[in-house]
Amino acid sequence: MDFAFSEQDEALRAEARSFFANEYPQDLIAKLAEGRPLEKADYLRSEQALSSKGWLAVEWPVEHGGTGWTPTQKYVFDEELELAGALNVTPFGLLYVGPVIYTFGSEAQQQRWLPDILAGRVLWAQGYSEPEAGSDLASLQCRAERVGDEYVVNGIKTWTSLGHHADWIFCLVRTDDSGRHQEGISFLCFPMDSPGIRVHPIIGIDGHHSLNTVEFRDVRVPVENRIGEEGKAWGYSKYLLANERTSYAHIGGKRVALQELRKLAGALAPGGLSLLDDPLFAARLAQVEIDFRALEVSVLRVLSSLAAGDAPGPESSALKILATENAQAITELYIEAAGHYGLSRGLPWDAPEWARSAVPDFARPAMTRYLSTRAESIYGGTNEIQRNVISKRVLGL
Amino acid sequence: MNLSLSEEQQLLQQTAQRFVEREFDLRKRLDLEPGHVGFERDHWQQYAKNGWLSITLPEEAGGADGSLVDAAVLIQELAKGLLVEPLIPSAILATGLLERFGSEAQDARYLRPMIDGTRIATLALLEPDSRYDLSRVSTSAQRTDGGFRISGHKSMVWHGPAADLLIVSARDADGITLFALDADSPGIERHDSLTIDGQRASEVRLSDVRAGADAVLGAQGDGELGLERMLDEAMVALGAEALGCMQALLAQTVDYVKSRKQFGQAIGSFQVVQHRLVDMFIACEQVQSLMIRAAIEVSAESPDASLAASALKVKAGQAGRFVGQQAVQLHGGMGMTGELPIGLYFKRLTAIDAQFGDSSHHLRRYGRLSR
Repeated sequence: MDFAFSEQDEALRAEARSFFANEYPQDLIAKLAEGRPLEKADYLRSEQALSSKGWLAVEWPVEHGGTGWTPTQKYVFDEELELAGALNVTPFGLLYVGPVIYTFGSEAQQQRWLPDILAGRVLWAQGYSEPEAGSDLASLQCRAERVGDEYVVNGIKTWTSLGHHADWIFCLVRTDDSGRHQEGISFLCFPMDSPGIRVHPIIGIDGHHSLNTVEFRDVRVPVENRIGEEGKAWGYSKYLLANERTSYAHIGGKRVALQELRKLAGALAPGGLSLLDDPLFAARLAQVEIDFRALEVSVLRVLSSLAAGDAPGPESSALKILATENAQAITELYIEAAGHYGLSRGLPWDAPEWARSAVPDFARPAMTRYLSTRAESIYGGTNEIQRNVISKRVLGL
Repeated sequence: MNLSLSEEQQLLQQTAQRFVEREFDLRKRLDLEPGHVGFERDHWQQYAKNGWLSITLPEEAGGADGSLVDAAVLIQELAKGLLVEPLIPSAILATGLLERFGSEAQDARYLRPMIDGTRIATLALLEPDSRYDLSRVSTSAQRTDGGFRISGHKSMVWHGPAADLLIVSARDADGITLFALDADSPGIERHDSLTIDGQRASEVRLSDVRAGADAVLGAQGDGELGLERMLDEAMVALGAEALGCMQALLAQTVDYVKSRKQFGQAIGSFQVVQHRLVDMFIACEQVQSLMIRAAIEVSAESPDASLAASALKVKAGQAGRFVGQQAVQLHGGMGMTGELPIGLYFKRLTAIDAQFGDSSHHLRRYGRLSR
């Protein structure tokens, strides 16, 4: 056993590091670091930069325009992206619907939708959750009624990230409610500017607008926009959720944050002592770092299994819980490090210099990140649901 | 021993409860323009009419003849409807300092108008590099003929935009001295901003502010002692506020899990959810116990006052974080929105932990005091 990456993996790491330092838009890195809200053009510009290098669809097989990378290579790339502070790719087109399209979609559907995703020209949104269907997704009620060559869609989807920016949406809709909840669900794709769609913003507890409720009233969708068979979409969606699981680790981002925290905490205060000299803070930071190390090795164990051609072991099912709880703990350390400026939202850019410069740079986004990161233990299946899954499938309880 | 509320305290609690029900519209509480002072002046006048702005003052000082215990009862109830008025900095902390150290002239000029609600005071104590240490003061007070010239930078001044009076700590030859300064004195600049809980705080710059000898609050060099006592009062007030927020979150989350259905049943029927709520309940009870202890000890100025006060702040910070996070978690996506009051209490609890020392700061203080 050893932890060494292969020569090819290290070569990719070096190439990626150079790309993010030289070719990737540096202003986007700065904007993200300052915690300023991102606009649609920012996402597109980031994805087009990756696309021009051929590195946007890292999860996709070569025949569909992807990189064909091994899981370890994807991991190395993701880590470098986050170490550089670049934008993570928007998952809805690239990680979620893309693989569904090339796995279950027709030839015509693949030619119609994949090139725009590959080129970073369009953004997609996901229409899964509904007000009454969260953890219990199969109870969804958004209805699609077949009328001739079209479906007429009525209902409400919510917690739609990027819904206000998206060009297209993929939705789970109910085409038949005569059977079990999991039956009679179909997978439809349609443009967000279709008549009958209204997008209502949801302002989050961090004060930012990133989520939406999307309302459908008699939205007409051609039957040819349905992926796979009518009523069989539950299976496709479960395939998609499996793709979601490994995307939570964000090892690179956590490594950067913990290194930055150590640096910030080590800076001497006027009294001559640093936060690292304080045993309480030093111990708390060490604790979170140890949890991070456990997470990192758990991810590497999954990669090692996959590289050997084996199915990942039970450690993979704990990743979502470990990764999200570690992310939340890191944000708490930032608030503590910010001290009395922890509750500041930062002063506006037009505030006078004497006032603005008093608030440490890292304190500005600290609280916003603390608040928004609370969502990590809720989305993608709450951590309570994840624990149910482990107790049933792994422990056999 | 008697740890129950007196008849007067029960009456106060009911009055505050009815006031919150009648007057506070949670959705509107924080829905004010960024340039707004942050609360309705009309509410402040009603506080004055109810005698709440002098709740800790003896009758001869124009007060309601109550104690810090009464103040805690009041604050805990008001917090259930979100306390956005400057009750704690002005009517508890600054009022306490003025009552203990104020001259007759300061009493007439500041305290009387504060009691009737026409003037508001706040504390300008922290600095960019002080973190939570009130004795780390680099603002300077230089002696001049008949007075002082004060210069420095004060940070995160709570309710700065509303304040007519600033109580400023500054270092001079004798140590730390407190000054009572009109907020519009020449040489004082203020930059206001919103804090994460939707309240207001200011950065304050003092450039050669001229203060007469009559601006000194108490004796010169005695500031640190006065601030220690004020800090203990702040712990009691903030502990009571945190407790009110936690109890509101617990009640609203219990209601929510009874009505929210997933997998064909109320999520409150799942054991993991039940146990979580039980832990939230236990956390509230712990804070309630430490709050009673601290309120009584600090009120009586007992030797254990600071220990009890820091114990309360530690637990209020930890339990407040736990209850806030779990209320959000159990509300799922709804907990992440600004549409429910859940987020407002959660953010206020988070802010309370970052005021007058977070739980780590008071854990250290407790350790130091108990050696």
